[in-house]
Amino acid sequence: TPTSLYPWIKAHDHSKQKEIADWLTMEIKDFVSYISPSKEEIMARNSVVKTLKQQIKVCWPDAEAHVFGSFATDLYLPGSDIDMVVVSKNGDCENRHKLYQLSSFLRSKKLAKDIEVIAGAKVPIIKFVDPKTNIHLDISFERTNGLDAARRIRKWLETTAGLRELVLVVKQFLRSRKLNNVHVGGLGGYATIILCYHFIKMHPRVSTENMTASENLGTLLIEFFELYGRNFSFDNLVIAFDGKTDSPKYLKKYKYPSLIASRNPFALVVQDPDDPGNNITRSSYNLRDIKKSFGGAFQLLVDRCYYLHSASYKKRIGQSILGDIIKYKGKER
Amino acid sequence: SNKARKKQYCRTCDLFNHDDDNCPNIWRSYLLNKQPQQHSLKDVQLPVIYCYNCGDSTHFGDECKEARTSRVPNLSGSAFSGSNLPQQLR
Ligand SMILES: [Zn+2]
Ligand SMILES: [Zn+2]
Repeated sequence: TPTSLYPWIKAHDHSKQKEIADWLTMEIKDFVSYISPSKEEIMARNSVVKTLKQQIKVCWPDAEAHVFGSFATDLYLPGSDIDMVVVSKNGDCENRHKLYQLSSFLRSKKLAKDIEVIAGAKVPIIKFVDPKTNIHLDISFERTNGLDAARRIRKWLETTAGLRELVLVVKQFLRSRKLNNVHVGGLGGYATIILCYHFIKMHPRVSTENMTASENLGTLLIEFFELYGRNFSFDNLVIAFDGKTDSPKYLKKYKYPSLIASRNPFALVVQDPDDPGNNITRSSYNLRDIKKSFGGAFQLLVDRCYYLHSASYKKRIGQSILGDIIKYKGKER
Repeated sequence: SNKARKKQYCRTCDLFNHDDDNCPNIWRSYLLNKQPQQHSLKDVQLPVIYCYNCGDSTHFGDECKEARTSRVPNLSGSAFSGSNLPQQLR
């Protein structure tokens, strides 16, 4: 099969759409179904997780392994890692000796290759690759905050039409700009989901039930970049949720000095919905590039809309709107 | 100059900072829900209002009177404006 820069537009031409926003909405849906895993890929991932859960139980009978992160919320992109956490009754799995015990057990059972035990880190983990599927896995220990987050995200996804599509497009955009890695100051998965959910819930036409987000993904995607790339005051505000009602709100930074660890006023602060004293984005120090990339995406998308709006039908055939902001080289399928 | 100004006029918005071919209304169009007959304002779902500039909950960011902190100018308005509420709530 040939590869193309915009493989999702193959056989999905929307150039005859009257409204350019509807064209973009349809293209977003095509992109999401293109990057969604096939049945075989889902089965392969599930079986890797199932085997590991069983075998970790064999190694440590009083411990339980769980998945969290993008695997647990079905918000993963092709090639994403699987995140697991092992939680035990004694709470002693993080101990250095036990980490090496598990890693040699996994090696002996031929369940892991390229194993790295990172025992001295603030969050000790075992990183490895599944020998059959080449999927990368991270196992951490005794920390349940990832499980709380996954539960919350699944609830948001169930009640918020359009959230999954918006998150996947923004995630892929950040990945294509190499701004999705928190170890180099980028925006992590949970923070990306919170920004998208917060934006949708605050939108004047969504919060009043005047429109449905899943039918307006095109305009909403541009308006997401408009808010965080052009207008939002990162200097003044904290992105937060009401603890009781779970509704979105902004806090004024100067009133919450304990949340603001960084001296830099231009820092993204997202309050952890499960732990109000914790800033989820404290590692996302590269806000300047993140904001600039969102502003750039806004400009590229609207310029593309203006161009295609006045272009002849002949020139519109086979064109992509998303292609300017998402470089995704892949097989046509 | 007068000529440049003429070029930059949008008939839809009645604004001088963009022309007809670069009007946000080209992409900022919404597919609205069919609205049930609303008998009073009580039947209407009230908006979530927070200002993206100062954080206040009495106005949207486009209508903020405080100094703007973002260095990117907002000339043609954004989604977060009182004028983007459904008709009966404006
Ligand atoms: Zn206009
Ligand atoms: Zn304000």
